[in-house]
Amino acid sequence: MLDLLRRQFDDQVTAPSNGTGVAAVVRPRELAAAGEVVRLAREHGHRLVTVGARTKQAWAAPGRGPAIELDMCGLSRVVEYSPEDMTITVEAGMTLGSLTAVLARNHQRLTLDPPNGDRATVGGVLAANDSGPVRFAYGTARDIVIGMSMIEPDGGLVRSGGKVVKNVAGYDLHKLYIGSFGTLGPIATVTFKLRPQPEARGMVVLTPRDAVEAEDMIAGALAGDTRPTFVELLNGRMAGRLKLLGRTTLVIGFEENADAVSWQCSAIVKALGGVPLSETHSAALYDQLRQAAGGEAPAGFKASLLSSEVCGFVERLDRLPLRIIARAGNGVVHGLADEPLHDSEWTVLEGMMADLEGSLQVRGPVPAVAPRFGRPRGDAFLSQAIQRRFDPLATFAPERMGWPG
Amino acid sequence: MAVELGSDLKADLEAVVGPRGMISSPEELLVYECDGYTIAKSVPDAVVLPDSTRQAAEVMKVLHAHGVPFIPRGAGTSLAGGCLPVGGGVFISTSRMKRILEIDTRNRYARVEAGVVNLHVTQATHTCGLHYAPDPSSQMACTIGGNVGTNAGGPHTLKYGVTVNHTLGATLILPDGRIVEVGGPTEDPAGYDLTGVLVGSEGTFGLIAEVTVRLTRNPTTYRTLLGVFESVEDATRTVGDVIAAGIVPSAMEMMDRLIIRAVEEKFQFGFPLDAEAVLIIELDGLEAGIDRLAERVVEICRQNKSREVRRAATDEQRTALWKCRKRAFGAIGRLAPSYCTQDGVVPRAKLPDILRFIQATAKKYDLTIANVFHAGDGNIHPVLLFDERDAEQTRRVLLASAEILAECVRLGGSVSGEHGIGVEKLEPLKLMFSERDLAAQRRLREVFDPQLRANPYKIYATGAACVEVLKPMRQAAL
Repeated sequence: MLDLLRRQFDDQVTAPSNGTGVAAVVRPRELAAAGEVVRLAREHGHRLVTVGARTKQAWAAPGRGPAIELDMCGLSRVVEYSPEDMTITVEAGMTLGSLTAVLARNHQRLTLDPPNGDRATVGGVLAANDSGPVRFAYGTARDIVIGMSMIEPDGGLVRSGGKVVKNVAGYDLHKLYIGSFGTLGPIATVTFKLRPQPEARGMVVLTPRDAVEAEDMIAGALAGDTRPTFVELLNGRMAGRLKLLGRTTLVIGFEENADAVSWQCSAIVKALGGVPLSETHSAALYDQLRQAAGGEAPAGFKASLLSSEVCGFVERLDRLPLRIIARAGNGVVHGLADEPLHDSEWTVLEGMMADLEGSLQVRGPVPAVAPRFGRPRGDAFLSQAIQRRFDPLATFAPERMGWPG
Repeated sequence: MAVELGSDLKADLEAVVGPRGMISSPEELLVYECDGYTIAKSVPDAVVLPDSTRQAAEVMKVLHAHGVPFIPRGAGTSLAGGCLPVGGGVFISTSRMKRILEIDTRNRYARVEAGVVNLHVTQATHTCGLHYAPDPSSQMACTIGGNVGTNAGGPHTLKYGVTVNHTLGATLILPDGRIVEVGGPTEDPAGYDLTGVLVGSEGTFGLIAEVTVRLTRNPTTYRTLLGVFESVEDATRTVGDVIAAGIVPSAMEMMDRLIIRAVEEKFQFGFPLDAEAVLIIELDGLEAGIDRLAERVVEICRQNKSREVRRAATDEQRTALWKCRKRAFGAIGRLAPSYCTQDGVVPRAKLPDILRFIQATAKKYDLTIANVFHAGDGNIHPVLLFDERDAEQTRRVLLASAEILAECVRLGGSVSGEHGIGVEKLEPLKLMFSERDLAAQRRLREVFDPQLRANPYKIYATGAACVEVLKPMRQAAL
């Protein structure tokens, strides 16, 4: 297979070291070539795994058997940018960092702020459904992707959605690809809707005594007169790592016109206490908050709960050696450990989840006691049926979704 | 044409919903002969009205056993023939499933049965400082289930997004009667985004019985402006300039002279009858900074030669202004016996182009076309006025509509911004998507509905035999 690929793609092919389960890595420079790689993989009965900057490979379940890796980093162009329509179409291998720079020249932004923002590719961020603090105000990838083209098993390109922000023509197939870990096929191009850069940013840092006070503060901020852009909760270990006081910390942030930002910061301080940060310090802390859930860690998880359960959950987790940052307004809790967790510690986590609405997803090596993507959902059979229908020969390694069988 | 229900089927359905849960007499069925797309009419074989998810699932099982097609129906406000029972079938009406099941204000979601009226959700949550953001003009009648089916929009989508951005999950009854929960109140569920594809599926995946909707915090205040312009071009250029200035109003709505006239006659709001276009621009948010933003918007209007910019000074004035916009279609009834509301999208920068094209098309087909639309996101609603008793004029309306939609696609837009494909846009959809794209969509549909009994012939033709049945021109001319 390696020889075949080398003959066709020449210097775009590399052979990885033995024992990685990867037969060859191909980094095409053109979309048509990417389609050809997919077609060849299917024709020769190989798995095909799509990779970008490889920042999140530990999130999906491992693939079965030798795979061909389709490296999308060579497909990183802007296809079409329309600042007056606030839309942009890019190839999936473009890094978020490059995309951010292109948009900044027109004072625009993508309201998706996952960790590893500079290196991570658009395709990888979408395939893993990664996100960051501002999801509280703007939603996640599914809320800002308006169109996509994808590569089918036979190598052809299929399109869904379009280039305009209002569009109900046909099914939004592209939504299925977000969070699919490449199991429906590679994402080739993405069309996003954009926003203008905010005029100003501000934050207030609070240190609640305990979970009860933390929840009161969050509920108060959400029900009060301000409209936060993000609400971040850190446990003591994470706060310490970020060079804040090593205690449970709540950061409430605003992005708006300058008057509204300063008014809201004052309003929060008046109602809840805390310390308002200057624009410079806000910018610095924001970058840290954004990056905190990223980075390689020997063990980690992402829990999705109701927002009202977050503070109690984070407090009960304090006995485990975890750094925790939560998008508290969304109920999303990220935990990272510097050492692999013991089975008994995973059991504690699983036990806590059993009493709560929501799900737990493991990042990194999966222990015996915790399924990678949490308790199986009642609708899993539909996702699996869709995958089988779209990829009957299982070229795109459906086992990476952690489904049984 | 209604097919006489087989007595077996009728008995089996009545056993589930009782005699009062079924409508099958021809006189009563006539009420259901069309939805908001009045050009095409077709009476269903029967209408079944289950009163709960469980009962609806039993109905679906009966229909599955008999191999009968079905059409989910909320309030029947579809403007694209989404509820048209092409080739026969049974309506499953959600009008008895209208309970609000749960409201969680802390976690900002509500769980409602599919027949709950859109506006009722906001009415139930408003005093808690929350509302349901997607607000289509028909929100006093249309249902949440229907909104989810069409990924409904409305004037405030510019800032707040469309239905899919506010749908957390749903209870779907598959065509074979199985009940499935997709999504839920917690975010990022494992597996594929089934909620995401369900929204906008136009009833082709089964019956949506319940929906978990996201609730949005109410804005503290509004500034609602009305810009009066001497030309549609000036107004559309204003829209582009506001966006370019980095301002995201919560709404930017345009009405042209014909609409202004009709609305003014009906509501006497004080609209200027001689203006070519008015632009409603609404900002919402906090008091702090909003006046400065409003001033910038006023300045942009002036730079684009607006004759005047009015401000709604009180809540009452704001409400009255929106009433005129949201009931514009009702007011149009004064202009002609019938009207056909089109729904297309172009990139915002192309708004002047499409409006010029619409004017040229009106001349070409000797029709009157009025324009009211969501200028902020390029979503146009040309309203073609005619008399449906005049078959020749009706034919011209359909031709003109097709040309306008084709031009939308040519300009980089879409054949539907919010009304959906229904039966109306089966052909235009092919302008946007290749055969491969449509094949992929069919594949997805077949996963949910392998027998193709769920709202058949909608979104795309599912068989060659339906081509003749679908030509609305023929129907209207009958």
